[in-house]
Amino acid sequence: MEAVKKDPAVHIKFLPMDLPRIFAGIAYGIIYRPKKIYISDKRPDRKTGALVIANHSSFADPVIVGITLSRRMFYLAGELAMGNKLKSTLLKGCGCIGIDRNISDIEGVRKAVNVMKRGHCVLMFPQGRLMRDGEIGKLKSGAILMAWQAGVPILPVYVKKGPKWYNRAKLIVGEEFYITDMIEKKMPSMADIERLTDYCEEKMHECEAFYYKYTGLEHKRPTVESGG
Amino acid sequence: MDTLERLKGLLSEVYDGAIDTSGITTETKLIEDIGMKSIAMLYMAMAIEGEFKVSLSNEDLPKMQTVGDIVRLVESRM
Repeated sequence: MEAVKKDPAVHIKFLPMDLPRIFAGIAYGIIYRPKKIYISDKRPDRKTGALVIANHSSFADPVIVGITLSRRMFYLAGELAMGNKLKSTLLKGCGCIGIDRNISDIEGVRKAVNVMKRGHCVLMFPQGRLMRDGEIGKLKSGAILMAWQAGVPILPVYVKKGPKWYNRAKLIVGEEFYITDMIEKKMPSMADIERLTDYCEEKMHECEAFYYKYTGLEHKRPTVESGG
Repeated sequence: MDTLERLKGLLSEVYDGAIDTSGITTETKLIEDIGMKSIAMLYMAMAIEGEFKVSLSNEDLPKMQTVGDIVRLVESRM
């Protein structure tokens, strides 16, 4: 695997993304007062890059996850979310990496992998879309490929704003795991990738279940409306 | 080992023996004959980059319709 030099923790080149992050962090910190809750005593390694996978129920999620984990966070965003050139430039300046979901975007994946190899966190929503009911949908497999290629752990988290506007947002942090620890060969097979995608989904559900256990709230699953 | 044989080896690893690579020729179609989906295409592209030490772009991937297309692409970059 190609050796990539790690970035220093503090550097002027990160100022354009760190400044908005600090301001957004203060604003969102006041509004949502996010609380970080670990599901086990095993804490994520802060010295290495990581691929953070989260559910996606609101546009505030990337900021809540970023400020709660207190690490410089890059975000994977669909090309559509990147919008026009101005919005795209601003988002990229804040650490967004555009991924075109309509093609096998190897260039976008390469960017994300290099960022993680340099020791940073990348946040992605492997459901691939916003699910306002807070449910964890079927995950896509790209996360497995990226984490394997970068040689970083996957950290599953579950983010949830409270039922009332004044409730604190919660970030449930699961246990990180390495793809290489879960496969027998040097490269994962397609069957491994499918199995590991299901494993990620299971780990996210564990975080979700922990949230409801911790808060004592009832988990109301959305009912499927029948047509006609 | 020639490019086709190395490519067959990669396919064998990616599919972990789930496909018979002995019948693969340069005419074999990736989607119709092997049943490759978009994630498998992406994975193959990453694996090709690692194996052959070449760099692929987003424009290259749609051109990869058959095994022969990949062989030609890789050999033109090596």
